[in-house]
Amino acid sequence: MRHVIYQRKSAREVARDPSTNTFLTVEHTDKETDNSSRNDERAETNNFKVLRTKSHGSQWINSEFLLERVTQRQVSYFCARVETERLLQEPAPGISATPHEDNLRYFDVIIAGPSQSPFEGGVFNLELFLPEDYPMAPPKVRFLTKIYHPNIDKLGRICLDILKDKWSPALQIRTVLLSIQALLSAPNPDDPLANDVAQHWKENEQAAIATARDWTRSYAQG
Amino acid sequence: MPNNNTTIFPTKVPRNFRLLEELEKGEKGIGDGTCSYGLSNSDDIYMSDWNGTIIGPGHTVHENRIYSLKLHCDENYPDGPPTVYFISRINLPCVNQHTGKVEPSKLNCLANWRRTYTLETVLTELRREMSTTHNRRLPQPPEGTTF
Repeated sequence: MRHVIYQRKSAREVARDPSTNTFLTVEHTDKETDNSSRNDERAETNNFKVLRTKSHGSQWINSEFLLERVTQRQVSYFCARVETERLLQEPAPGISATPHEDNLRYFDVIIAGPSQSPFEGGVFNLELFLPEDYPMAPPKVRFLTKIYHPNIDKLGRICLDILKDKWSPALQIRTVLLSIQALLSAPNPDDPLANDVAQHWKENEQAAIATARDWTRSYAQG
Repeated sequence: MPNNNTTIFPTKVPRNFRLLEELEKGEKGIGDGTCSYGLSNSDDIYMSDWNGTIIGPGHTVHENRIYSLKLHCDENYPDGPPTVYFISRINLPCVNQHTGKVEPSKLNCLANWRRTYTLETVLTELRREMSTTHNRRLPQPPEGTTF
Protein backbone atom coordinates (compact mmCIF):
# COMPACT_ATOMS: atom_id res chain seq x y z
CA MET A 1 0.00 0.00 0.00
CA ARG A 2 1.45 3.31 -1.03
CA HIS A 3 0.66 6.54 0.76
CA VAL A 4 1.37 9.99 -0.53
CA ILE A 5 2.00 11.73 2.72
CA TYR A 6 2.65 15.25 1.81
CA GLN A 7 2.04 17.45 -1.19
CA ARG A 8 3.42 20.92 -1.44
CA LYS A 9 2.56 22.05 -4.93
CA SER A 10 -0.60 23.60 -6.24
CA ALA A 11 -2.59 21.66 -8.82
CA ARG A 12 -1.31 23.94 -11.60
CA GLU A 13 2.31 23.39 -10.71
CA VAL A 14 1.72 19.67 -10.53
CA ALA A 15 0.20 19.70 -14.01
CA ARG A 16 3.31 21.46 -15.29
CA ASP A 17 5.76 19.12 -13.64
CA PRO A 18 4.25 16.02 -12.05
CA SER A 19 7.57 14.98 -10.53
CA THR A 20 7.56 17.91 -8.11
CA ASN A 21 4.23 16.97 -6.68
CA THR A 22 5.24 14.72 -3.89
CA PHE A 23 7.15 15.82 -0.89
CA LEU A 24 7.28 12.49 0.82
CA THR A 25 5.96 9.21 -0.44
CA VAL A 26 6.18 6.20 1.76
CA GLU A 27 5.30 2.63 1.11
CA HIS A 28 3.65 0.58 3.75
CA THR A 29 5.67 -2.63 3.75
CA ASP A 30 3.54 -4.40 6.24
CA LYS A 31 4.03 -7.77 4.54
CA GLU A 32 7.59 -8.01 5.83
CA THR A 33 6.36 -8.05 9.38
CA ASP A 34 5.19 -11.35 10.74
CA ASN A 35 2.47 -11.36 13.33
CA SER A 36 4.58 -12.67 16.17
CA SER A 37 6.90 -9.67 16.14
CA ARG A 38 4.38 -7.05 15.06
CA ASN A 39 4.56 -5.19 18.31
CA ASP A 40 8.25 -4.99 18.91
CA GLU A 41 10.33 -2.00 17.99
CA ARG A 42 12.28 -3.73 15.22
CA ALA A 43 9.15 -4.88 13.46
CA GLU A 44 7.84 -1.34 13.58
CA THR A 45 10.89 0.03 11.80
CA ASN A 46 10.09 -2.15 8.81
CA ASN A 47 6.65 -0.79 8.31
CA PHE A 48 7.52 2.11 6.06
CA LYS A 49 9.96 2.71 3.32
CA VAL A 50 10.52 6.16 1.90
CA LEU A 51 10.29 6.07 -1.88
CA ARG A 52 10.71 9.65 -2.91
CA THR A 53 11.39 12.93 -1.16
CA LYS A 54 11.75 16.62 -1.81
CA SER A 55 13.16 18.77 0.89
CA HIS A 56 12.61 22.21 -0.65
CA GLY A 57 15.36 23.70 1.41
CA SER A 58 13.90 22.91 4.81
CA GLN A 59 17.10 22.57 6.75
CA TRP A 60 16.00 20.23 9.44
CA ILE A 61 15.38 17.41 7.00
CA ASN A 62 18.14 14.87 7.01
CA SER A 63 18.18 13.36 3.54
CA GLU A 64 20.17 10.35 4.62
CA PHE A 65 17.48 9.55 7.10
CA LEU A 66 14.85 9.90 4.43
CA LEU A 67 16.47 7.20 2.34
CA GLU A 68 16.29 4.74 5.17
CA ARG A 69 13.39 2.74 6.28
CA VAL A 70 11.47 4.75 8.79
CA THR A 71 9.04 4.04 11.55
CA GLN A 72 5.48 5.16 11.64
CA ARG A 73 6.44 7.47 14.49
CA GLN A 74 9.11 9.09 12.35
CA VAL A 75 6.69 9.56 9.46
CA SER A 76 4.26 11.04 11.93
CA TYR A 77 6.94 13.34 13.29
CA PHE A 78 7.90 14.45 9.81
CA CYS A 79 4.45 15.29 8.65
CA ALA A 80 3.76 17.24 11.81
CA ARG A 81 7.01 19.19 11.53
CA VAL A 82 6.63 19.98 7.83
CA GLU A 83 3.02 20.99 8.21
CA THR A 84 3.65 23.10 11.29
CA GLU A 85 6.44 24.97 9.60
CA ARG A 86 4.29 25.61 6.59
CA LEU A 87 1.28 26.70 8.62
CA LEU A 88 3.42 29.23 10.45
CA GLN A 89 5.10 30.52 7.29
CA GLU A 90 2.08 30.62 5.00
CA PRO A 91 -1.02 30.79 7.15
CA ALA A 92 -4.37 30.18 5.46
CA PRO A 93 -6.67 33.23 5.39
CA GLY A 94 -8.77 33.47 8.54
CA ILE A 95 -7.00 30.54 10.19
CA SER A 96 -4.12 30.32 12.61
CA ALA A 97 -2.62 27.25 14.25
CA THR A 98 0.09 27.51 16.88
CA PRO A 99 1.74 24.47 18.42
CA HIS A 100 2.15 24.32 22.19
CA GLU A 101 5.77 24.73 23.27
CA ASP A 102 5.65 21.68 25.49
CA ASN A 103 3.68 19.50 23.07
CA LEU A 104 4.35 19.95 19.38
CA ARG A 105 1.45 17.69 18.44
CA TYR A 106 -1.03 19.96 20.20
CA PHE A 107 -2.20 23.18 18.52
CA ASP A 108 -4.19 26.21 19.54
CA VAL A 109 -6.31 27.05 16.53
CA ILE A 110 -8.25 30.19 15.73
CA ILE A 111 -10.77 30.30 12.89
CA ALA A 112 -12.49 33.53 11.89
CA GLY A 113 -16.18 33.11 11.12
CA PRO A 114 -16.57 33.21 7.31
CA SER A 115 -18.21 36.29 5.81
CA GLN A 116 -21.85 35.90 4.78
CA SER A 117 -22.33 33.17 7.35
CA PRO A 118 -24.08 33.52 10.72
CA PHE A 119 -20.61 33.22 12.24
CA GLU A 120 -19.24 36.33 10.50
CA GLY A 121 -17.40 38.60 12.91
CA GLY A 122 -16.79 35.75 15.36
CA VAL A 123 -13.42 34.45 16.45
CA PHE A 124 -13.56 30.76 17.25
CA ASN A 125 -10.99 28.96 19.36
CA LEU A 126 -10.33 25.31 18.65
CA GLU A 127 -7.79 22.74 19.74
CA LEU A 128 -6.14 20.17 17.50
CA PHE A 129 -4.09 17.12 18.36
CA LEU A 130 -2.08 14.86 16.08
CA PRO A 131 -2.35 11.32 17.45
CA GLU A 132 0.60 8.97 17.35
CA ASP A 133 -0.58 7.27 14.15
CA TYR A 134 -1.09 10.57 12.29
CA PRO A 135 -1.18 10.85 9.27
CA MET A 136 -2.52 7.32 9.02
CA ALA A 137 -5.26 8.43 11.41
CA PRO A 138 -6.96 11.86 11.28
CA PRO A 139 -6.13 14.71 13.64
CA LYS A 140 -8.49 15.24 16.55
CA VAL A 141 -10.13 18.66 16.55
CA ARG A 142 -12.80 20.38 18.57
CA PHE A 143 -14.23 23.85 19.18
CA LEU A 144 -13.56 25.49 22.53
CA THR A 145 -15.80 28.45 21.73
CA LYS A 146 -19.52 27.79 22.07
CA ILE A 147 -21.14 27.68 18.64
CA TYR A 148 -24.69 27.12 17.39
CA HIS A 149 -24.20 24.78 14.46
CA PRO A 150 -25.97 21.52 13.53
CA ASN A 151 -22.71 19.62 12.99
CA ILE A 152 -20.98 20.74 16.19
CA ASP A 153 -22.12 19.48 19.59
CA LYS A 154 -22.12 21.05 23.05
CA LEU A 155 -18.61 19.83 23.73
CA GLY A 156 -17.32 21.28 20.46
CA ARG A 157 -17.01 17.93 18.72
CA ILE A 158 -17.28 18.20 14.96
CA CYS A 159 -19.18 15.93 12.59
CA LEU A 160 -17.12 16.03 9.43
CA ASP A 161 -16.50 13.03 7.18
CA ILE A 162 -12.79 13.72 6.61
CA LEU A 163 -12.24 13.59 10.38
CA LYS A 164 -13.71 10.09 10.37
CA ASP A 165 -14.17 7.51 7.61
CA LYS A 166 -13.21 9.83 4.74
CA TRP A 167 -9.79 10.63 6.18
CA SER A 168 -6.83 10.12 3.87
CA PRO A 169 -3.14 10.45 4.74
CA ALA A 170 -2.81 12.86 1.83
CA LEU A 171 -4.91 15.38 3.75
CA GLN A 172 -3.20 17.79 6.10
CA ILE A 173 -3.84 20.05 9.07
CA ARG A 174 -4.41 22.90 6.64
CA THR A 175 -6.99 20.92 4.63
CA VAL A 176 -8.79 19.94 7.81
CA LEU A 177 -8.97 23.51 9.09
CA LEU A 178 -10.13 24.82 5.71
CA SER A 179 -12.84 22.14 5.69
CA ILE A 180 -13.98 23.21 9.14
CA GLN A 181 -14.08 26.83 7.98
CA ALA A 182 -16.15 25.69 4.97
CA LEU A 183 -18.49 23.78 7.30
CA LEU A 184 -19.24 27.08 9.03
CA SER A 185 -20.36 28.51 5.70
CA ALA A 186 -22.40 25.46 4.80
CA PRO A 187 -24.08 23.81 7.80
CA ASN A 188 -25.46 20.39 6.97
CA PRO A 189 -28.55 19.67 9.12
CA ASP A 190 -29.07 16.32 7.34
CA ASP A 191 -25.99 14.85 8.99
CA PRO A 192 -26.36 16.32 12.45
CA LEU A 193 -24.33 15.91 15.60
CA ALA A 194 -26.40 18.33 17.66
CA ASN A 195 -29.90 17.01 17.04
CA ASP A 196 -31.85 19.86 18.58
CA VAL A 197 -29.87 22.43 16.59
CA ALA A 198 -30.34 20.44 13.36
CA GLN A 199 -34.08 20.21 13.94
CA HIS A 200 -34.25 23.96 14.52
CA TRP A 201 -32.29 24.49 11.29
CA LYS A 202 -34.67 22.29 9.30
CA GLU A 203 -37.91 23.64 10.77
CA ASN A 204 -37.05 27.31 10.73
CA GLU A 205 -33.78 28.11 9.07
CA GLN A 206 -34.13 31.89 9.50
CA ALA A 207 -34.68 31.56 13.25
CA ALA A 208 -31.81 29.10 13.60
CA ILE A 209 -29.50 31.46 11.74
CA ALA A 210 -30.60 34.29 14.03
CA THR A 211 -29.73 32.17 17.08
CA ALA A 212 -26.36 31.31 15.54
CA ARG A 213 -25.74 35.07 15.08
CA ASP A 214 -26.68 35.72 18.70
CA TRP A 215 -24.33 33.03 19.92
CA THR A 216 -21.55 34.41 17.72
CA ARG A 217 -22.09 37.85 19.32
CA SER A 218 -22.28 36.42 22.84
CA TYR A 219 -19.49 33.86 22.84
CA ALA A 220 -17.15 34.44 19.89
CA GLN A 221 -15.93 38.00 20.28
CA GLY A 222 -12.29 36.97 20.77
CA MET B 1 20.23 12.51 14.94
CA PRO B 2 17.20 10.94 13.25
CA ASN B 3 16.65 8.70 16.21
CA ASN B 4 16.54 11.69 18.52
CA ASN B 5 13.67 13.15 16.57
CA THR B 6 11.09 10.90 18.06
CA THR B 7 12.40 11.25 21.59
CA ILE B 8 12.02 15.02 21.56
CA PHE B 9 8.61 14.59 20.01
CA PRO B 10 6.73 12.16 22.19
CA THR B 11 3.04 11.55 21.88
CA LYS B 12 1.40 12.97 24.93
CA VAL B 13 -2.37 13.11 24.67
CA PRO B 14 -3.46 16.51 26.01
CA ARG B 15 -5.90 16.70 28.92
CA ASN B 16 -9.00 17.61 26.92
CA PHE B 17 -8.56 14.91 24.29
CA ARG B 18 -7.83 12.38 26.99
CA LEU B 19 -11.02 13.34 28.82
CA LEU B 20 -12.99 13.12 25.55
CA GLU B 21 -11.70 9.56 25.14
CA GLU B 22 -12.76 8.76 28.69
CA LEU B 23 -16.16 10.32 28.09
CA GLU B 24 -16.72 8.27 24.96
CA LYS B 25 -15.66 5.12 26.75
CA GLY B 26 -17.94 5.93 29.67
CA GLU B 27 -20.89 6.55 27.34
CA LYS B 28 -20.44 3.11 25.79
CA GLY B 29 -20.37 1.52 29.25
CA ILE B 30 -17.32 0.15 30.99
CA GLY B 31 -16.60 -3.38 32.12
CA ASP B 32 -19.47 -5.26 33.76
CA GLY B 33 -21.41 -2.09 34.61
CA THR B 34 -20.51 -2.12 38.31
CA CYS B 35 -18.77 1.25 37.93
CA SER B 36 -19.89 4.07 35.68
CA TYR B 37 -19.23 7.74 35.20
CA GLY B 38 -20.36 10.70 33.10
CA LEU B 39 -20.11 14.47 32.88
CA SER B 40 -22.03 16.42 35.53
CA ASN B 41 -22.98 19.04 32.92
CA SER B 42 -23.24 17.90 29.34
CA ASP B 43 -22.03 21.30 28.08
CA ASP B 44 -19.00 21.58 30.40
CA ILE B 45 -16.49 22.33 27.64
CA TYR B 46 -13.49 21.70 29.92
CA MET B 47 -14.99 18.47 31.26
CA SER B 48 -13.95 19.19 34.85
CA ASP B 49 -16.83 17.77 36.89
CA TRP B 50 -17.95 14.18 36.70
CA ASN B 51 -20.48 11.97 38.45
CA GLY B 52 -19.49 8.44 39.30
CA THR B 53 -21.50 5.46 40.45
CA ILE B 54 -20.29 2.29 42.12
CA ILE B 55 -22.51 -0.71 42.73
CA GLY B 56 -21.44 -2.33 46.00
CA PRO B 57 -19.74 -5.70 45.54
CA GLY B 58 -21.67 -8.85 46.42
CA HIS B 59 -21.07 -10.85 49.64
CA THR B 60 -20.07 -7.68 51.51
CA VAL B 61 -21.99 -5.15 53.61
CA HIS B 62 -22.09 -3.01 50.45
CA GLU B 63 -24.09 -5.53 48.43
CA ASN B 64 -26.95 -3.96 46.46
CA ARG B 65 -26.00 -0.45 47.57
CA ILE B 66 -25.49 2.21 44.90
CA TYR B 67 -22.85 4.77 45.77
CA SER B 68 -22.74 8.20 44.10
CA LEU B 69 -19.49 10.11 43.80
CA LYS B 70 -18.22 13.40 42.46
CA LEU B 71 -14.91 13.55 40.65
CA HIS B 72 -13.10 16.73 39.70
CA CYS B 73 -10.37 16.86 37.05
CA ASP B 74 -8.36 20.07 37.34
CA GLU B 75 -6.09 21.49 34.67
CA ASN B 76 -3.25 19.17 35.71
CA TYR B 77 -5.23 16.04 34.97
CA PRO B 78 -4.11 13.44 33.85
CA ASP B 79 -0.60 14.41 35.00
CA GLY B 80 -2.14 14.71 38.45
CA PRO B 81 -4.99 12.69 39.96
CA PRO B 82 -8.64 13.81 40.14
CA THR B 83 -10.15 14.81 43.47
CA VAL B 84 -12.83 12.39 44.53
CA TYR B 85 -15.75 12.75 46.95
CA PHE B 86 -18.40 10.28 47.96
CA ILE B 87 -21.86 11.83 47.96
CA SER B 88 -23.45 8.71 49.47
CA ARG B 89 -22.34 8.08 53.03
CA ILE B 90 -19.89 5.22 53.35
CA ASN B 91 -17.57 3.97 56.05
CA LEU B 92 -14.20 3.18 54.49
CA PRO B 93 -10.73 3.97 55.88
CA CYS B 94 -9.82 6.03 52.81
CA VAL B 95 -12.94 8.22 53.02
CA ASN B 96 -13.02 11.28 55.27
CA GLN B 97 -16.06 10.74 57.51
CA HIS B 98 -16.89 14.45 57.71
CA THR B 99 -16.60 15.49 54.07
CA GLY B 100 -16.79 12.28 52.03
CA LYS B 101 -13.45 13.11 50.45
CA VAL B 102 -11.34 10.16 49.34
CA GLU B 103 -8.00 10.90 51.03
CA PRO B 104 -5.37 10.74 48.28
CA SER B 105 -2.75 9.42 50.70
CA LYS B 106 -4.96 6.48 51.63
CA LEU B 107 -5.87 5.18 48.18
CA ASN B 108 -3.02 3.61 46.29
CA CYS B 109 -3.94 4.78 42.80
CA LEU B 110 -4.28 8.41 43.94
CA ALA B 111 -1.12 8.33 46.07
CA ASN B 112 0.93 6.77 43.27
CA TRP B 113 -0.86 8.38 40.38
CA ARG B 114 0.31 7.67 36.82
CA ARG B 115 -0.69 9.39 33.62
CA THR B 116 -2.17 6.17 32.26
CA TYR B 117 -4.69 5.96 35.12
CA THR B 118 -8.24 7.05 34.42
CA LEU B 119 -11.47 7.83 36.27
CA GLU B 120 -12.30 4.18 35.71
CA THR B 121 -9.09 3.17 37.54
CA VAL B 122 -10.17 5.19 40.58
CA LEU B 123 -13.73 3.87 40.67
CA THR B 124 -12.62 0.28 40.19
CA GLU B 125 -10.04 0.56 42.94
CA LEU B 126 -12.60 2.08 45.33
CA ARG B 127 -14.93 -0.81 44.60
CA ARG B 128 -12.10 -3.23 45.30
CA GLU B 129 -11.50 -1.44 48.62
CA MET B 130 -15.09 -2.24 49.61
CA SER B 131 -14.41 -5.95 49.39
CA THR B 132 -11.04 -6.26 51.11
CA THR B 133 -11.01 -8.58 54.12
CA HIS B 134 -10.66 -5.60 56.44
CA ASN B 135 -13.43 -3.52 54.87
CA ARG B 136 -16.08 -5.97 53.74
CA ARG B 137 -17.76 -6.22 57.17
CA LEU B 138 -17.30 -2.62 58.41
CA PRO B 139 -20.53 -1.23 59.89
CA GLN B 140 -22.15 1.15 57.42
CA PRO B 141 -24.38 4.20 57.79
CA PRO B 142 -28.04 3.75 56.75
CA GLU B 143 -28.52 3.29 53.05
CA GLY B 144 -29.45 6.44 51.13
CA THR B 145 -27.77 8.93 53.50
CA THR B 146 -25.40 11.53 52.10
CA PHE B 147 -22.38 13.53 53.26
